[in-house]
Amino acid sequence: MDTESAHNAAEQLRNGSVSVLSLLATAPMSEALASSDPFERARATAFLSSVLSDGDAAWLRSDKADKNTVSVLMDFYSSRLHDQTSVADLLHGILALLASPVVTRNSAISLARAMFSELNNQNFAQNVIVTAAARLSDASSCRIHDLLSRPGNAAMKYLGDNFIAGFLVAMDGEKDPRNILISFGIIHTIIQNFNIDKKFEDIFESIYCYFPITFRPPPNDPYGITSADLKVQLRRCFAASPLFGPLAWPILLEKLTSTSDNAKLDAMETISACAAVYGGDSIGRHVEQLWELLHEESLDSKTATQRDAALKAMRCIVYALSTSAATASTSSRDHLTQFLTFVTKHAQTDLVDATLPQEAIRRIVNAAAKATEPSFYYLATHLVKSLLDVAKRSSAVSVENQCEVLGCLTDFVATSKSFYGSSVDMDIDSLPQNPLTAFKADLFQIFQTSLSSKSERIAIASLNGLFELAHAKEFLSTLELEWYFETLLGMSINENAAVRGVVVSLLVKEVSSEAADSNHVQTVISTIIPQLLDACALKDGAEDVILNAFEAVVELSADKKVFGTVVPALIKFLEESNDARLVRHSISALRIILTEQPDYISEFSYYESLIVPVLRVLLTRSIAGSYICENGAYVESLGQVYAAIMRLLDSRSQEKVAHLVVNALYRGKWVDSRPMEPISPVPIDARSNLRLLATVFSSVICNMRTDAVLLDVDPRALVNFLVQTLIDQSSASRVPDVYMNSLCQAVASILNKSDAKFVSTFTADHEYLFKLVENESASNSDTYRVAVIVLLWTTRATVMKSPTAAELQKVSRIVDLLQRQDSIVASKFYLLAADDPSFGKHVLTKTAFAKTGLLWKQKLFKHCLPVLVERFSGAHSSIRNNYLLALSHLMKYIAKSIILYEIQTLIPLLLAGLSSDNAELNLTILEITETLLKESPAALGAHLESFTTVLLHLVGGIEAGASKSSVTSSGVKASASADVRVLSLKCLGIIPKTELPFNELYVLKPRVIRGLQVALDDEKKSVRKEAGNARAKWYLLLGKK
Amino acid sequence: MGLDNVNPTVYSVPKDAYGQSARSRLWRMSQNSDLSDTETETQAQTEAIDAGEVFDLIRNINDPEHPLTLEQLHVAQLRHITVDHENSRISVVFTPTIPHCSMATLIGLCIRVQLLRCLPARFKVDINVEEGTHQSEKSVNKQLNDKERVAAAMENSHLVEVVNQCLATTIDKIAAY
Repeated sequence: MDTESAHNAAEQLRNGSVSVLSLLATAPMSEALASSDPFERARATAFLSSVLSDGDAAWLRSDKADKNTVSVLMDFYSSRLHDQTSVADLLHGILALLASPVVTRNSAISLARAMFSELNNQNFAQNVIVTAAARLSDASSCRIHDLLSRPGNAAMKYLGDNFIAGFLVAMDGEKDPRNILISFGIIHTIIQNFNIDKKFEDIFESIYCYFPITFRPPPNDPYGITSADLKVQLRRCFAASPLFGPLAWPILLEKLTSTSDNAKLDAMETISACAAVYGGDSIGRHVEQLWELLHEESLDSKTATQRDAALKAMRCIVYALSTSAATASTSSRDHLTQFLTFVTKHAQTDLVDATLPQEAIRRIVNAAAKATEPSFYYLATHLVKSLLDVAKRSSAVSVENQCEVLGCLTDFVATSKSFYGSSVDMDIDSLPQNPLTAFKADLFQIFQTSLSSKSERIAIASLNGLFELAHAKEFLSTLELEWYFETLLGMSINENAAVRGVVVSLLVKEVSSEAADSNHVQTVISTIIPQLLDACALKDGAEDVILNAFEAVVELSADKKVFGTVVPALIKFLEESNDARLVRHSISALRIILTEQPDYISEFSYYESLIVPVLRVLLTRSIAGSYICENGAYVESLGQVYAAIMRLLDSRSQEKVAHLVVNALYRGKWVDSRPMEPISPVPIDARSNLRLLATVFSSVICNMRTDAVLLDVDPRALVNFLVQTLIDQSSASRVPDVYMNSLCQAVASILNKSDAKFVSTFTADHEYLFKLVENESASNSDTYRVAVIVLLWTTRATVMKSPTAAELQKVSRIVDLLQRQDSIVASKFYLLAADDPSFGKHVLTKTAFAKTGLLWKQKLFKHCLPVLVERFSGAHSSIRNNYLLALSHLMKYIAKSIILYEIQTLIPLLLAGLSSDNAELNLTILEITETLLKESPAALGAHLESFTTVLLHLVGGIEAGASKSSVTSSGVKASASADVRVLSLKCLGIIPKTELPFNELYVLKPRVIRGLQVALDDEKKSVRKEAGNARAKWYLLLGKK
Repeated sequence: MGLDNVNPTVYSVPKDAYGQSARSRLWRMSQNSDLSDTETETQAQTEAIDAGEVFDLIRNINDPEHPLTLEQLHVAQLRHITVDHENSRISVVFTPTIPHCSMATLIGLCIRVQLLRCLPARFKVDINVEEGTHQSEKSVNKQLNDKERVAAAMENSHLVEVVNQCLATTIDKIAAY
């Protein structure tokens, strides 16, 4: 009777070839079921249950299982429940049977009765709890109860109190969290669906013993039941009936006095969930005690969660009392007043008494006021006046106190909006009168006068207050609102950073919050923004004021409506202004706004309003030799703006932009319909004023999608022109870096995104460049430098696209160049492997739509590593660093897993690099060491001592007392650059925090601590701080207890 | 054991040394990008240890009683630190939260140990309780500035453990400012 035969039998049942009764009547089955051997019976039962539950009880769910058969089976199972050995299997079968839609009321009742009478869960659990079968059946038994007590099951209601009593006995003393969880669910269903008038005390008794839950799941618990799950379910039961109120309050209050924070938290959360259900009347006589305990908890709690739970509980109590009071319960009204009197009394004393943390009482007042309109009304009428009095006596009150009083008043105004409407709400007559209306003038005056306070905190508190006043319904007159906005404008330009930050954030809220008042939005857009822009354009304004105005404009542009106003205005400054400062700031602002809010660009007429005018400005100003276009940083900023826009566009729109820019800068042809006068563009040239525009040119080319083409331009000719221009110009004079890099990036991008045929035609150019470099005798000539950079960029572009043997051969030829005395190739080797070789400008990256071959980096690394290692070991000492530097650049950008695979070969090289006196090499290798130490310290574990030694060499602390500039025994110069020292110290600081064996680390401790002493007195602050940090970490290396 | 000061006043701590948002500073930096020469000038300069640097070492030490730093409790304040390069002396004055604070010596010891670990040995460091803020001001000061007593305290393994616990919170924050 194995699983397979059970499955076969179930299959036959389903297709109707066998009936269940004939199955039972077969000789072995009927004999086994009636056998005197309990284990024989259990086996037969197990088989039958498996048949029934096969395929998620498919047969029972189908219409093939008729009512009578199911009834017979139910009765059979119910009658057998006394058979202890078979119980597990019986429950398994019952569970399957209950899935049938045709279970009759009578069978359900008799099953429930049988379960409560025959099946003594407790004894059963005690007998066989240790076995897995017992656990399964125990869980099933609870699930069966669950199925039986589902809502709508009229049969169980018929059993009524008997069912409840039976179930309570069954769950009594239950300890298994899975069963408890299900039991809580059942209890909740019982409370919801049964009449529990007679049984509520018993039910309460059975659940309250679990309160508060202190369950801690065992490690690796497969069921994943957490203490939070249990808490939530238990709380649901507590909050399921108002009948529990009188029973629950004493227990909850007792738990609130507990010493365990966990119990207190659970009690407070339960109070929040139950207060409204139990109703104000039941809270009645506990009001004073509740206030005392919750008040104390909200003042003293160590964590914010605890404090917030206390405040929420208070709020719920006030809500419950208010609701009961509203239904004309006089006692509740008295109790509400009593509770609120406590709040007012404490607020009045605490907010004046400076020794207590007033923030806490402010929170309490706010929690109570937020609960309901009556509570708000009471507190507003009893407190606001005295708070205003305190605020008026500002000189007699401390700054902290003053802030809290203003904050409290602000809270009142803010809360009043939810009860009496805000400035955006329609006029509704039914809304009650806001009690704060009586204090309208006073409130405005207090906030207005406090705004000019010397204390920045008071000014900020008043600003928040004014903001709330401006948003409360019918509070400020038109004149007062005007004053409010004017003040915000003035402060956004003139105040110090902290206040300005608040003012600007309030302005942002005015325009962009979801519930923004349309009048306010209008005022900001039509009045404030133009005035801010005027302030930006002030010719003789102080630098600080102008920057503040720009900063406010930039922050406000995060809103789409403002964006649409600000961007054209800034472009207009670019076009029209002769004020260099204004143009410079406008460019910076445009860069920040457009790169931070790229999503708005698509809805903005970017081509006509941005691309064309900005290019026109750049060309005009460059040709005229304007200061702005002399400065690479500004032109580059605009290049970044173009790049950000390009990345968002689809291929066709990109083509349009590229058409304009490439024609203007490559051919000197203006293709926009609006003519470019009076100056006509000329092609970009290294010597002309236009050279910096190369960044704009490359920004556009580099961010084109792979399927976007250059209209009317032959890419082959363009690439040739760009490479030739660079080489030609380098023979005459030094080519500026910006110009060279930009053109190289453009060439590389075109190569990367074009097809294989195009790339093959470039091979000849590659050969020409290699010849040029190899034949160039003087390494310091500019042609050599330019040709090397072009080679690196173009090789990168093609290797990245398809790392074939032919392409990798080009890399080998580049490696050959490392044997020259100069270090240009080595220093720029990162161009071959870096994820983003242009450092943030999006060239040959995924974001710039570059094509990448599968595992290209791994292939590159695998190709280069043996060559570089071999050349390094055979090289003369003067050029060894070149190989190390090239290798370190590769390692920096390769996945750590690949480095770890080769770590044994690499460690001697890393150590050699750290011992070198080449700062660039030191830095790159230190970065690699830092990552290795952080991510896989075990790889360096065996060489820890050597690493510690070279790192200490680098910080100048190899021997205690050695002076910093001394040359140590191994020839390492101890005074490395400050960056190297800082990074070395960082690495040294990571070591004690790694998970390397304590004994390996501990032996190093005295030496490192001694060695770091020298760095503590370094001439650079950053080094000293890092040294202090590293030393403190080593001191704390104490091992596990 | 009950706490000495159950409910200490907690002070807000500025976001960074300049009290400005990072964004704001970024903006200013981009404005000054053409003044890059200043960068190279500072490279060559020697930066002497100042009070701010000493404060950075101790501001994040944890109070032995609360999960709050000495800075948040105003036990340690920048204005109470002086550095005298001529005589190689540093003076740190700290303010216990209440006059009968039994933890004053322990707090002082934590400051002493942290500075021993993180300052160059050439400085003589004086650590004192702010005048008039503690009942046994003299005896606390005497203990804290007595080398022998400090050394003896550091031989008490229990005390070392408590001190290390208080200092553990400074890790990786020293260089963060």
